[in-house]
Amino acid sequence: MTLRINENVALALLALLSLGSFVLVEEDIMSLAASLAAFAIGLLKINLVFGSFMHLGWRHRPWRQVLTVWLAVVAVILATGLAVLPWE
Amino acid sequence: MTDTVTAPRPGQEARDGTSGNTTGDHARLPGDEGVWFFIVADMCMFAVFFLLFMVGQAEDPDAYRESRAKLVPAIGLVNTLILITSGWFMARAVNAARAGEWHIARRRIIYALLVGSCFGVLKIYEYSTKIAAGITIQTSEFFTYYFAFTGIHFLHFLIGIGVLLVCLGKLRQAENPHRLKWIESAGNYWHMVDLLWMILFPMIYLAGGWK
Repeated sequence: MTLRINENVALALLALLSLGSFVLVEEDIMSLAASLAAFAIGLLKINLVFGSFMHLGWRHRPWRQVLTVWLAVVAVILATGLAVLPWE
Repeated sequence: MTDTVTAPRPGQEARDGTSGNTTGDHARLPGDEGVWFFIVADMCMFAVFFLLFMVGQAEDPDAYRESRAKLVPAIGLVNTLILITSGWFMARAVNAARAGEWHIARRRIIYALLVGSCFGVLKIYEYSTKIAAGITIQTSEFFTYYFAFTGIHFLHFLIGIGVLLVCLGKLRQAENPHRLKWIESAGNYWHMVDLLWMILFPMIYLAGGWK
C-alpha cells in the first residue's frame, strides 16, 4: 500500500509518529513491544515519505516494488534482531 | 535527462496545498532513473549495516545497552524532526517546480537547506561531546557502529547539501530544459537521507533497551 496524502498532513503525521516512538521507548525502555513499535513506526514513516514526499507509486516499476522488498527485508532483520535479545 | 512532464496549472498548489501531482499516481517516474538506481543500491548497503548492528547486539546485548545509555535520545529525536521538516520543504519545492513556479521552488530549496543544516550542526555537537567525554570509535563495538554508520549517513547528508546547492544554481538557468529532472532527483536523494535516518534513529538510540 502506498501512503499518499497531502504533504502538510504527512509532515504533521511524521512529526507525531517520531515523537510517539520516542515517548514509547522512553516510558518502557526494557520492553520488546516498545522497541518493536519504534521500528514499526520508522517503517511506516518511510512508507509515508515514499508516497507523500517522493510521489513514488506502484506504477513506477520496478522501483516501488524493489523498495517495498527492501522495507520487508529490513523489517525482518530488525524484528529478528530484537526478538533474540533477552528482555526483562 | 529529458524533461517531458506535463505541469499542472500555475496557482493550483496555492489552492489545494498540493501541486496536483501529489494526489495522482502518475506514470512518469519522478527524477532520473540513474539516481533511483543509486538510491536503491545505497539503501541495500545500509540494510547490511542494519544487519551487522543487530547481529552485534544479539551477541552482546548488555554491552550495547550500557553503551546506548551514554547517548542522548532527545538529540536523535530533534535531528529526526529537522530532517522531516527539511524534506517537507524539498517536497514542496518539487511541487512548485512542477507548477513552473521556479522562484518559489528556489525559495523552498533555500529553506530546506537552512533547516537541514541544523542537522549537521547538531551532529557535530553530538560527536564533539562524545569525543570530549572520551568516547571514540574504539570505545566499544556499539560506538564503532555508531560512529561508522552515522558518519557514513552524515557524509550522505553533506553530499545532499552540495546537491541542493547545485540545484539552486540550476534553477537560475531559465533555458535549461533539464532543471525539473534535476530538482526531482535532488529531492529524491534528500528524502533518502531522511528515510535512512528513520531506521538509524530507533536502531541506535531507542530500540533494544539501555542500562
